[in-house]
Amino acid sequence: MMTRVLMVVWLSSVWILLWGDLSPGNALAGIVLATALVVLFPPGPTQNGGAHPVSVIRLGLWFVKALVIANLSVARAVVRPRIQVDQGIVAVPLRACSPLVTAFVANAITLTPGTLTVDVRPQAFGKIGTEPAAGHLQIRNGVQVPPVLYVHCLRTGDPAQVRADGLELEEYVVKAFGSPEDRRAILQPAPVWPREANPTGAEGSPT
Amino acid sequence: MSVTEVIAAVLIVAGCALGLLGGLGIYRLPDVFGRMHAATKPPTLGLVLVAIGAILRVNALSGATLLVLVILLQFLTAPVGAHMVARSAYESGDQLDDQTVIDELSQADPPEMYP
Amino acid sequence: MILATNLGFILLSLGALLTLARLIQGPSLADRVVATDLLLTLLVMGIAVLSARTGESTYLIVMVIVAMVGFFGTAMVARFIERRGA
Repeated sequence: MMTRVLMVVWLSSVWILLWGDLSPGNALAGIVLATALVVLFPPGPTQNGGAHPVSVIRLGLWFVKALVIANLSVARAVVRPRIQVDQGIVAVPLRACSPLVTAFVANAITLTPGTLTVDVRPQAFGKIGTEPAAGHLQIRNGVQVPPVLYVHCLRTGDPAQVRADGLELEEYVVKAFGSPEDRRAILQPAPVWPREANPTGAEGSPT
Repeated sequence: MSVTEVIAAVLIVAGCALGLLGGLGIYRLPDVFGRMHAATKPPTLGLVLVAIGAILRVNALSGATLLVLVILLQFLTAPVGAHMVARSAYESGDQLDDQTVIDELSQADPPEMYP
Repeated sequence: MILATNLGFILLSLGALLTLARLIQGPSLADRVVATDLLLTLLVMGIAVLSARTGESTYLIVMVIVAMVGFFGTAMVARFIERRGA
């Protein structure tokens, strides 16, 4: 119910922004249209824990700072007379499972210093069971499996540092938008990576 | 020349400089993934700066709201677009540059194994 | 303001020229998609600068449409590359 109300608010504000007209008639038309859309095409189930204002603001500030640093770092890399990069694709295993958190972290990584999300895969696939999971990408045997982000770095340096930065970002995002399960998940220690270091294949055990 | 005008001018020039930076990066960096870095980050911040500069100058409320909308759109779409192109480029076998030091995605299971 | 927007247009044009060079050179399809995307973003920025110069907001709806079309185009071609490979 809450998501539907939010959807109506979002859709009608886009309507008003597009018309650029805040008159009561126009606003009413937007709200009626948005309600009709949400009733006709109901959104799927979500698992958000709701937003926490203070954490959202903290995430926002961190994000703006990271965006500025990102641009400075790209600028430094690009303006040099000789292009000098040590690029690489690093796996960043996450702890939280919900799609919203995954999507947000992946997008934020793309906009932060020297990193770009290339792919998202479920964690430890082929280790626990080799049969393909039924249904959703991240659900196996009824248990949600946290994802791994594959991140392309312009200046790789130390892969462990890239992973640590990803987990720090995840913590910010979960504190802002995460579901209760996500909040429990980020209390766990960082997942062991690379996989070979953990022969049981039970890393990042889902809660 | 008022204060807001000066601020708008500075923001617009800075934003356009970031646009040029994006162009420079996409021209000079060695492979698709590096170029994608240059095509995503600087233009996003650049567009935000230019749009704020324009908001300070535009005379109608409707113009300002459209600029806000375009900032929101850019933040939503730029990373998603970059992610889609990067993924398809990797899967269709676009080569990584020689200066690549590590590729952990090549050790991951092939996509055929996923449902 | 005229001076600032002129400078802005020059910077954007140089950026667009370099992007165009990449668009022509390729070498892969993905390179060209990235270049097209950036070109459209630069166009959006150009329209915003134009509206700041004149104070007119007539063209801004064009800006929103270009931004959306740019995204949908990128998404479409990305799906296409993924299926076809190139």
